[in-house]
Amino acid sequence: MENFFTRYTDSSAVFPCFPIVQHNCLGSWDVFLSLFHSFTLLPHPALLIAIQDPPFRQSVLPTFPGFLSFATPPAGRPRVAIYVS
Amino acid sequence: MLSVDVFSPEGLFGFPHCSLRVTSVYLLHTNRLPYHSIPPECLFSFLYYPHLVLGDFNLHHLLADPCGSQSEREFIISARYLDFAFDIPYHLLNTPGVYPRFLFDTISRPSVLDLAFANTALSPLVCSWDTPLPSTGSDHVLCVITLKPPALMLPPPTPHWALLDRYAVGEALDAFTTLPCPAGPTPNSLSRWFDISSTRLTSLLTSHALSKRLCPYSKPWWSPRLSSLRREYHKFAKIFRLDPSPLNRSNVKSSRRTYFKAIATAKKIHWSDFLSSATPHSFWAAKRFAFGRPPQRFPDLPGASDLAEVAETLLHHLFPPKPPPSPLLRLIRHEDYTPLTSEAISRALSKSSNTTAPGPEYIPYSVWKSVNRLKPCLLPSLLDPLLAHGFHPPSLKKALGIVLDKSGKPSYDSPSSFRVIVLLRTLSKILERVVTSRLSAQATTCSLIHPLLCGSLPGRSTADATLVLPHHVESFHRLR
Repeated sequence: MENFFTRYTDSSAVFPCFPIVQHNCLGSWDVFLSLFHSFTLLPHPALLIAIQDPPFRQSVLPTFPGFLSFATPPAGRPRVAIYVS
Repeated sequence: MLSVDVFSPEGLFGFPHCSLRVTSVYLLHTNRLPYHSIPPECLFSFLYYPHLVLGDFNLHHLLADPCGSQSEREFIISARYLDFAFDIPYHLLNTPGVYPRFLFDTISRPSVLDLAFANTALSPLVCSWDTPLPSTGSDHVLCVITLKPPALMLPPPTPHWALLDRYAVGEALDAFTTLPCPAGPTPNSLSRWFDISSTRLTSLLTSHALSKRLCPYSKPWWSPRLSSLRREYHKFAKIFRLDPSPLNRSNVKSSRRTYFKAIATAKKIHWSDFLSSATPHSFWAAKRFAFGRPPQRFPDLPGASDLAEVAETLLHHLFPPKPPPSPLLRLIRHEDYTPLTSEAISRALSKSSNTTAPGPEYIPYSVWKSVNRLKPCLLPSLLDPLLAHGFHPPSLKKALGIVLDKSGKPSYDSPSSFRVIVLLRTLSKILERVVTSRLSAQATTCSLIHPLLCGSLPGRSTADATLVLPHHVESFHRLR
């Protein structure tokens, strides 16, 4: 992320903007996958995704290639999660 | 609730702040106060760096959904969160009337539960809040918040009032009712009542008008024929790149010549049409097109390194801060007050030009004239409580400032080389006109105006002054 802003403030900016996405997944894996696949329709790639009620199975949050997940609480079912590109 | 801090040692988008905090929130209902799982004190705090709070708040509020209805309990619960946020201050980013939640049944109307707030440090960077993507299978729609440096932002889209659907607006206004004014109001409660009521009304009007956005690529002379010529030129150019034969080269040359010639002809025809239909109002526009605009001088003020600091320096110079007035605890309704009528508003509107530049809400007088014609009781019900209590809410004092450079200055490194045109809300100016007409009538009745004063008074003009002057000269000669 540090490089992102450094590149942006430079005149040869790579990213013209910083999109942040928010969504309630209703604890559904289908919604989660549909959410991440719908980003191709955005004009600029989503860099930060705030999810409420993410899907959760066997103490594991779903992952998606290219994104790093953060959730709270560390143990138990998380009610919110943030994915960073 | 989960917060993530984004850190950049170089600063964010050219701003001096190195951090951005994003807080994701999911509020769940509980049976105890504040009836939600997280109190507002945990969500919103005073931070000097940018902070974005977003998520599913499970709250209904009229500022996010102006056309919705809410129970008193819902209003109290949501007002507790939003008032706390606005006091810090945080700004609500949701576009009023855009719904991010659609229930699967066909009975329930769409609603707004997903809210986003930005603190003062982040607000200049927020470009848009939108729901541009299709459904993912959830009853919520994706909300996308876009941050951009202010220098790269286009001006926000404004409603195209000429294309206002007046029939639909008339039907919507019939169903629209103003919220009841609070009894024995305080300045805060009356101000909040007016803000919610006026936002509901302006959102209703804006939702029935198409949006237009000024674009650097707008070409009024462009036509579908030019689009087809451009397509043809690019097609031949592509073929020539794949097969650089003499025949393809000549095709490219001829198509390019035709395309650019058509552009020149279209520009010439548009200019001739513009001049042939020129009116005294478009004289200065014609001069600007013919001779070009003078170069814009951007304030180069010492000690102001970015846009925010330039704006702050200009504001401080042009509008020096004054000590705040002593706060009023409770407003008193004047007993001898004459209620505001739609005729008084019609009279005030009749003197207002439709072409006057509107203020921050972009609603011109022509729209208020239509509203007053379609539902005469609406504007009096909105403005009457303000007059009755002698209170002008702070939201009506917000203005759009257009900074212009003064010509012929030796240098433009001082705020005194610039002037600002202040565009107030048209709703505020209607109220001002009503008060002015009442004061003027009162002054005439009480003989507070000198009998020889002719300027800016109804029914008197320069002709009266020129008739009075010889009369006085003659009477002076007679005395001698």
